[in-house]
Amino acid sequence: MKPLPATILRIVAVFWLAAPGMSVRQSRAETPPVTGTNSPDLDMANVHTITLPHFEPDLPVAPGRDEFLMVCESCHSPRYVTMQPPFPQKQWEETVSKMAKTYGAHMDEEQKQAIVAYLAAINSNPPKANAGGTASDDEESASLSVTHMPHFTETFPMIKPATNSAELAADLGRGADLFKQDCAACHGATGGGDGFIGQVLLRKPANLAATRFSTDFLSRVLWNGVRGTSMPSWHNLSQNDLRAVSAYVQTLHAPSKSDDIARAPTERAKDLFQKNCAPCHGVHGDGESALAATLIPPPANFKRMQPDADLILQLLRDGIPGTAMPSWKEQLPESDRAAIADFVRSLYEAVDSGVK
Amino acid sequence: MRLIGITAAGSLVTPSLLPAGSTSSNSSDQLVRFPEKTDLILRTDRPPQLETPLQYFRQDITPNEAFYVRWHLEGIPTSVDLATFRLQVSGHIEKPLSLSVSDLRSQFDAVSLVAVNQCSGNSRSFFEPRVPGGQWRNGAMGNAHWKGVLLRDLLDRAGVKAGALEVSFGGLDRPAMSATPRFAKALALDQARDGEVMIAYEMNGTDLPMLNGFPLRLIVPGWYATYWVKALSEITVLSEKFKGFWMEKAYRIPTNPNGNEAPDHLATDTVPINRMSLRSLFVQPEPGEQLRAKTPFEIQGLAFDSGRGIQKAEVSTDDGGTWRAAQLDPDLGSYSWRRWRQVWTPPASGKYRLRVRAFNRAGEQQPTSLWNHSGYMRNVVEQMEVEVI
Repeated sequence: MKPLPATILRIVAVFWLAAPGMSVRQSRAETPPVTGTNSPDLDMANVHTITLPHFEPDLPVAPGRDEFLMVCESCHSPRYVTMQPPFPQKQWEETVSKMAKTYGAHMDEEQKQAIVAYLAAINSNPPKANAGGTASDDEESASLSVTHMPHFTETFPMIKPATNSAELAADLGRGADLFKQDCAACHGATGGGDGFIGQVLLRKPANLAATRFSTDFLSRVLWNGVRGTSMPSWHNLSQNDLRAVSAYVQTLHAPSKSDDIARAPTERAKDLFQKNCAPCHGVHGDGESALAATLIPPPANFKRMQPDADLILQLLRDGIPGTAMPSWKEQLPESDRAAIADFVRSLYEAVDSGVK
Repeated sequence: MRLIGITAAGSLVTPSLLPAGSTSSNSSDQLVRFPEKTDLILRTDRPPQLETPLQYFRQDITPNEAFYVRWHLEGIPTSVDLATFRLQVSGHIEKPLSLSVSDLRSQFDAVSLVAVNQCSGNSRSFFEPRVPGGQWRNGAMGNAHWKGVLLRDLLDRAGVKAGALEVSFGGLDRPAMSATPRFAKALALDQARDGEVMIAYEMNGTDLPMLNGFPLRLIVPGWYATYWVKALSEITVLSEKFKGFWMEKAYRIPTNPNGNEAPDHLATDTVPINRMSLRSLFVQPEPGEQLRAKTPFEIQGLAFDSGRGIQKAEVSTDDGGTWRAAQLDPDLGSYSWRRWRQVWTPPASGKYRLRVRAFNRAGEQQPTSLWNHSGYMRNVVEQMEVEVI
């Protein structure tokens, strides 16, 4: 194959730039120049990128499902479980122990037992009474969904922020190290949600650079993880380390320029929110609603997190893949979406103690 | 081993894909399409494990689009910039190397060969009792034409120092959790310099698909695919034995020749999995396919080993009562698989049990039973029940 003329490469490169949604963008150039004098166009032609699809199964409802979704999603699709043949409970105990000991999955003893019970319930040999079938068995899942489930509650110890600047400085130093070691792979080096692992996830890591989080929100999420996402619990960290991570994460937020202008929400914005958003996010925007109880991952609580206006507008336009959050591009004109963004931002009410 | 000199890219034509509608071997399979791939059997999606449907093994060379996919860690590479990508050679050497793909193409002699790449756990779902892991049928394997450079040539350029023992290999993949061991494998120095182990930048005449290890993949002819490190980016020469999780704890087999153990008596002596066991498989008929009485049918399949060379394959149509040598297709190289064929005319309707077994030039034979708790190295004499109508 002869090297393509530079003009063609340039055209192709422009096309790639214009079509970021394409699943495959591949260089057709035979051999890149050996020297480092590539033009930006040629550099683009050297980049080979794919976008991974996801085929995650619906998981049968049974006790322990929440713990499974909290712990196991961090590293692999639930399909790794649903592809397995039925195993005795003893095998599941061994497997779950191996995940914790060998691969470092974050779980405490209680979670471990719940996960083993869940796996044994949905995939055991011999089958357990009242246990589910395979994940793809819709009829079975439907009949199981009426099973009484214990109400899932999350408790967590509140992180107490630093109370003086020396403590804060120490926290930020320690937090930066911990973030680099344990968080950046998914959330990205600057918290933009664009880390290496983040690329392969259906439910993208939170954009920490474009969202303000309250300390109580971070306390909860760091302690418990987020069900149905790859965010694990970090309660193996000491309270001091949790405080350090929380403080550091809060410094990653860099409000965009448009957020400098405080806009008072209008009545119309409130109505739009109540009509379109409240069914999931709750009438108070705190993520508490009848529907929310059925959703994994749960809808955002805007009293405890405040995304930048640009991020809200992007999520309203595109929706959030792998969650119940749809795109509103066709349903609401841009002006309505902008009004909703203002209203959502006005909901934030957390007042954090501690020094800034 | 035959190293076939290649003068131009694409001199080996990749066979076209089979027409749509070819029967899949199991109706419960979910077929999915990943980037640069055709419809493959979904085992799991993150990290992906995708199995090649049986139909593609009717071709001697497995098309890139149909080649199976298996990754260990969640963080698999999805974007590679050839302008910045470098293969690093470091460790117990005179001169560290940092090579781009174009450096490999322009500064080293190109070599190529046809070789089977087979997952250690291929056919795991046929173990009884069942064992956990990727639940593959026979499609975690493929035969491809690999082109690249010899690892020996790289090591010679780097200048291996006296006292070097092993060479370890790492790729661009990363674990999600810092506590999860990074994927890395190692070979003894002698094997690394044997003039066979290579670093491929082409697969079947074109770039490797991202999911098969773009831009570079280690090729360890005759050895299980766990050693064929994908998206190879780091080669380290070691003056001591490699102590990585994926050699010391994972991918271990019982020390006995077949890797056999009993469920209630697991082996205590284990070694890292290594060269591929001799095996033979049916490609047609496919499971569930009905044959017609008094109508000739070509039973067809594949046989391969670790490079000793297939000597013969024998087929039985009466459940092992009598055996007849099958015809072998031309040899594509020691590390390729070899197709065998035998025309059979079922005498009457009813159920028949077919068997196939292969022999290699080293005098090895296939076992009739095998079990280990990891589900590795399955190579038992295959049996298939067919219905003749």
